[in-house]
This record gives sequence, structure tokens and C-alpha cells, in this order.
Amino acid sequence: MSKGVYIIGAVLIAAFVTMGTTEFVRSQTPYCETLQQVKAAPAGSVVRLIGSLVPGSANLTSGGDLCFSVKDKNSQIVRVTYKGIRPAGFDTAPKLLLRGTYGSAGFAADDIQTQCPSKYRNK
Amino acid sequence: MRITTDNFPIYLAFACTAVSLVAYIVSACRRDRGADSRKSVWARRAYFASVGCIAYATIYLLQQILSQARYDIDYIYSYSGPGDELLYRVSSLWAGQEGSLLLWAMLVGIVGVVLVRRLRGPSGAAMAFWSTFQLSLLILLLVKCPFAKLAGYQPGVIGAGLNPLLKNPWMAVHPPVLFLGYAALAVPAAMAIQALIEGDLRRWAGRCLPWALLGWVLLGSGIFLGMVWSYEVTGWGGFWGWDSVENASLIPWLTSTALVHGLIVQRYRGRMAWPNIMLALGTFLLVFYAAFLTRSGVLKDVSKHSFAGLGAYKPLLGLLIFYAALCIGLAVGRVRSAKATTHPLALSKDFAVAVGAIALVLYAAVVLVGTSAPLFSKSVVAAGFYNRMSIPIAVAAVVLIVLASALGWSRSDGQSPARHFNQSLWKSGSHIAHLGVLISIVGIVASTTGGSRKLVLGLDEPGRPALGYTFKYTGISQLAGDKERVNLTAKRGDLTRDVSILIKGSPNGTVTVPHIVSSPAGDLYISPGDQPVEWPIARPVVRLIDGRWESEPARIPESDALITLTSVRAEERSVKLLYEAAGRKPVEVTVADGKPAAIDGYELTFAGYEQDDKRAMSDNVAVKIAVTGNGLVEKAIIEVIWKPLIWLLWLGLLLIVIGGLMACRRRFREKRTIDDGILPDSP
Repeated sequence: MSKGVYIIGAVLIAAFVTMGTTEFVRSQTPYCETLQQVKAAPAGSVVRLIGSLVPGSANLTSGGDLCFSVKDKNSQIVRVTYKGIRPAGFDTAPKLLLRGTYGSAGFAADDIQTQCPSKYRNK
Repeated sequence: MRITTDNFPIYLAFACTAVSLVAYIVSACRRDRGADSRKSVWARRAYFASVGCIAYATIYLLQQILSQARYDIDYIYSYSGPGDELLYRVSSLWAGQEGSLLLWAMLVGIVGVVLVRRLRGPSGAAMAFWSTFQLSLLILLLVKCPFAKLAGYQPGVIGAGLNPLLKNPWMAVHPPVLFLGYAALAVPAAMAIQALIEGDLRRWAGRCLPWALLGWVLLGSGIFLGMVWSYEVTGWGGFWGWDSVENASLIPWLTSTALVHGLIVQRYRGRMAWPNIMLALGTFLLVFYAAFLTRSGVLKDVSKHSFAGLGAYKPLLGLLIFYAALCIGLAVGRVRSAKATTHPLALSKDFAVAVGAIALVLYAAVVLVGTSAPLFSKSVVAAGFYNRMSIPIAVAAVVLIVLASALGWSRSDGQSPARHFNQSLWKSGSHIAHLGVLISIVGIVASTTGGSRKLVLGLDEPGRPALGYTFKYTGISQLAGDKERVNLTAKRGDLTRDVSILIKGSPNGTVTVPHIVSSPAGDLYISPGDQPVEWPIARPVVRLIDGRWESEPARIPESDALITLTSVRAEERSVKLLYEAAGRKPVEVTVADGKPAAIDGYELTFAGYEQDDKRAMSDNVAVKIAVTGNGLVEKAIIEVIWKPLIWLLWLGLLLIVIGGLMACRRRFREKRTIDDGILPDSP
């Protein structure tokens, strides 16, 4: 096997590692446990917020968007709007993992994750 | 934890495993001949006894679940109930943290029994490692015991049953297959340790290959079953969310794929001995790392799957550090003394296979770094990172598979790949699995090219167009067995299809089942979300603030009128409401369950509390008042997703499993000749 093949291999690996590093830095989304941390993030930046649904707060806007309130671990409440449909387990999940941006109208979520059912306990 | 008749078998299993560990270590130190020495016999007996105890504990727990008489056991109360069907009562055995640990320990025990019987020659080191592994799981079981008593148990209490999302045949078999894969993937690590101590890597590759293949195909099957469940049940229209816990099982699968390829190269060319040892040990460490990520609670705030902190963080971290130190220490200390034959590497099939193994390790490293990000920085890596990094790997996989099939092995036997393929159907497992990989890649790429659209459909309102269809909501029907069906129609040209979304109720929540219309062109996926039908509902709330009840009014949908709670009679399911609208005097009306009130053209109906009655009586009472009249109608909210050619993905995964199982069969049969000291010629 010629040295050229090893050089090409090393260049490809280096290119892959460089791409990975760049993408990794670019794709990081900070996660926040409190509304205070969300507000402290740079304006318009995408963050993840962990909180629990305020019972009875979910409703549909006239435009069909889902609107609900989430309570952070300090019991601070923020209004959330979401253009998608309610994900499975939305009402029963102990916590919601929201991704989106914070602004004057509240938290605009573009993704909602609910915790896996195997974690739930009926008490 | 106090010893009781329930948990005694786990303590006994712990003691027996500890005895077998000591005996195997003594046996390994004396380099005894496995089947013949007295120490080995005692070690084996103690090991078999430990497996018997674990099996007894598992069967005992299952029997208690099936009997429905032991809701004083926290685990049984939390995950099973009298309303569950037999299949889901059985699967509740592994539905939670503690039960799945017990299942894993039992499967490790069973694989260990097979290993004891299959290993030939000195095996003390391998079995000492295996006993250590089993002991680790038993330590975790003592920390998170499935027989722990329910705090505050009162006679007559019953469990609410398995979570309805887990009542699915795919999910019933997903954990056992996954854990069996994890158990089988510990065998190459045990054999690697034995080979390192013996200093003979030549026969190791041949003996290890069938186990690596078995673990790979089982873990892969477990992951694939989870993908099918996610697609068919969870309703988001996807099969892989790049969640940390999903990734945690993918990483060892990727390294085990690299290991299988590396072992084949080593067996026939003598190369990759050192990387294979590292891959075998690394895969085992990654399996344990997956357990750490899933069960320690470190990802509870960033993963939708992770178990919350259940007290297993410290033992899991300790065991992970112990295994990392053991594997790295042994590998670094012994690998230089290990000799393996080598041949020069030429542009050949083995070259392509070796490069493929490197690509897989790089891919595993990418997923590992992304998954571990929350542990070393307070951030999560977005799914786009993994998707973009998958592109070069997918391209490399296609190129290398095509290249490898075009090239022959770098040996002078003159046989072409085509001749190998024609030799025996059982030898074509590798070809079938690789064909499956190519088809899966096509399926994944194609399925992401479809679109999606959210629709809000009023009852009997004109249809709305989406993705070439016109959708219409026609109402909701009550079915037997606490089920409801949301009825829609999807019209395309002259053809009108009925689309029904099933809502299944159960004591611990409801589950909505997506509707999938499959065709050769792809799937039309109707995602219902958690609540596919929204009624015009006003939700007035009263809150207990500083010892006083304060009312928060609610707006009548699509109007400016307000209703405010002035009285709540929880037991009678009756409330008094103050109705306020512009241009008229406020009016108090009484709304009770089954007794609606009419005002201003609206009909106000009591529709229950937002939570169950028990929680509604806490410090936050939200009452649901359904409102009809004045043009207000119920609405169906769905997401329509088009998934082109997604069946190719399922076909590809099926071929990977079939090909993997065929390869397993072939390699286990070959292993017998290797054990007899003969290396087969043909790859």
C-alpha cells in the first residue's frame, strides 16, 4: 500500500474531525432550569427550558397555535406558544423540555419533548 | 436494605457470585485447565447457583405481578394493574428501572451459563470478569431492589397498570432483546481479557467473532424495535430523535459493528489485533456507560427517556470508573506482549473493511461527544449536528460497501466474492446485511424529503387541503372498552379514505394512536398529538393564595364574555359562575354535571376538573366548562406528514437482522472447528 493512501486517509479523517468540531460548537443549545437563566441568554438565541405544565393553562389561539404556561423550578411562570400539535404525554409528563426563543410575548417553542413513559410512576 | 423473604434470592445470588468470582480468580492465577481443576468446578457450581437465584427472583417477581395480589411491592404497584392484558402484565416486569435491571442480570446469567459450557481451555480470567460483571448488576439490584415495599401501603390499594404508551407489542419485546444484546456484547470483552492474559490473539478473533455478531444483531434488533415503536405509537412521525438515551444504545452498536468487521480482518489477515481488543473492551465500557446515562439520572433534565435520579448515581459511576480502569490497565499492560501474525495490507476487500471499521469508530465518537455534552457543559447538542455528521458517514458506507463487494480478499485463493456468494446460502448473510444497510440509507434519505402540515378542522366544516389531500373532520364516536374514535376523511381526486384516530383510555391516562396510510410510494402519517380534539372550553380557576381563595376569570372562546368561579362544590360536581358580557348586567348561573346552563345563546356544560378530583382539591382548582352555541364547534387538530418510501427503511433493517442471524449461525458452526485448532480458509 503506497504512502499516498495513508496521506489521503489522514486528510479525510482530519477533515471529518474539523467538520465535527465546527458543527459541535455551532449546534450547542444551552439548557436552563429557571426563567431567569432564559432571560439572561443573548436576545433571540435558542435555548432549552425545563419546566412543568401549569394545569389548565393550555388552550388554542384563534390562529390554531397551542398556548400554555410552564412553571420553572423556582415556581416562576412563563407563557409559551407553540405552532405544532400537543406531543404525546403533554398533559401527564412530569416535565416538559422546550426548545425555542424568549421574547416580549413569552417563550416561542419550536420543539417540545415529554419524558418517556417508562419513567412515569402512578403516584 | 433489610433482608426479607422477597429479596433473599438477590442476596443469595450476590453471595454465590462473589464465591464464584474468588474461585475463578484463583483458577486464573493458577492457570488451571477450566473443566478439570477443582477450583474451576467450585467456581462453576457457585456461578450456576447464583444464576439459579437470579432466575428464581425473576420468576418470583413475575408470579407476583401475574397474581395481582402484591401491590404492597412498590414496583408492582407502580407498573402493573388488574386491567392489563397478560402480555403487558408480563412486560411490566421490565417496564421500570428495577425490573429491567433484574431482567438484565438474568440474561447476563444465562449468557454466562452458555459461556461456561462453550469455553474450552483455560477460562478462569474470562469467567472472573463475567462474575464481576454479574456482581456489578447485583450491587445495583441491591440499591434499586424490585421488591422494595410501597411506602404508606394500605390493604385494598391496586396499581393503575402499565403506562398506555408501553402497551404495544413492539415495546413489550424491545427491552429483553436490547438487554440480551448488551449481555452478549460483554462476551468479547471477557474473551479479550482472557486473550490478553494468555497473550494469544490468534485464535481469539475466531472464537470471539460469533459472540460479537450475536451481540451486534441482538442489540441492533432491540434498537430497530424501538424505532418501529417510536414511529407507530408516539405520533411524532419520526423513528429516531437523537435523544441522549437513544444515542447511548447506538454508540456500542456502532463500535460492535466496527468490532465485527475488525475481527473478520484479523481472522483472515492477522491485522487489527490491538484495535479489536480495544473495540471489544470499549464496546463493553460503552454498554456500561449507556446504563450510567440512562439510570443515574444525570440526563434527567435533557433526555425524554432517562430515569430520574433513583439513587443509583454513585454505584453506577463507581462501577464505570472501575471497569474503565480495569480494561485500560489490562490492555495497556498486556497488549505489547501479545503477538499476532500480520500480512501486508493491499487494496482489497480487507482494506475496505478496515477503513469501514475506522469510519464506524469515528461516527461512534461523534455521537459519544454529542451525547456526553450535557455532562461537561450546560448545553445540549441539537439533532441537526448528528444529521449533518451522518452525511459523510453514509457516503463512506455506500462507497466502501460497493468497493468491498467489487474487490476480493487479499489472499491468493483466486475466489471472487460472487463465487463466495454462490457457495452456500448461509454464507451470504454478510451480503444480505450490507444490502440492508444500503436500502436503509435510501429509505432514511427518501423519508426526509416529504412535507408536513398542521391542520385545525372544525366539525363538519368544509375540508382543508394538505399534501395533495383534502381533510375533513366528521366527529367523534364512543367505542366499547373506554375507547373513542376521531373520524376524518382524506379525499384525493375521486377517492375518499376514512381516517380514524383511536383514543384509548386507561386508569393512568389516555393514549392516541396515529393513523398511517401505507402505499408503495410512502406513508401518509396522520399525527394526532396528545389531544386530537379540542372542544370550545373555558377554564376558570380558583387559587389558594395566602390562605384566601382568589378567582381567575376565563374568556368564552371567540368572544369577550368572561366567566368567574364564585363557588365550587367538588363532591356534587357543581359550580356557580359569574357571567359577564359587554352591555349587560353580570349574572350568576349554576352548572352541574349533567345539568348545563343556558345564557346569551351559549350552553355551558360542566366537563370536569382539569386534573383528577383528588388534585383538583389542592390549592389550584381549574374547572372545565364546555361552551356550545353561537357557532362554536369542536375542532380536530392534526399534523399530516408525508414519508416517501419509508418502507425501504423497514425492509433494510429487516435484511440487516436476517443477514446478521445467518452470519451468526455460520460463525458459531465455524467456531467448533476453530476450537479444534483448525482455521477455516474462506472468509
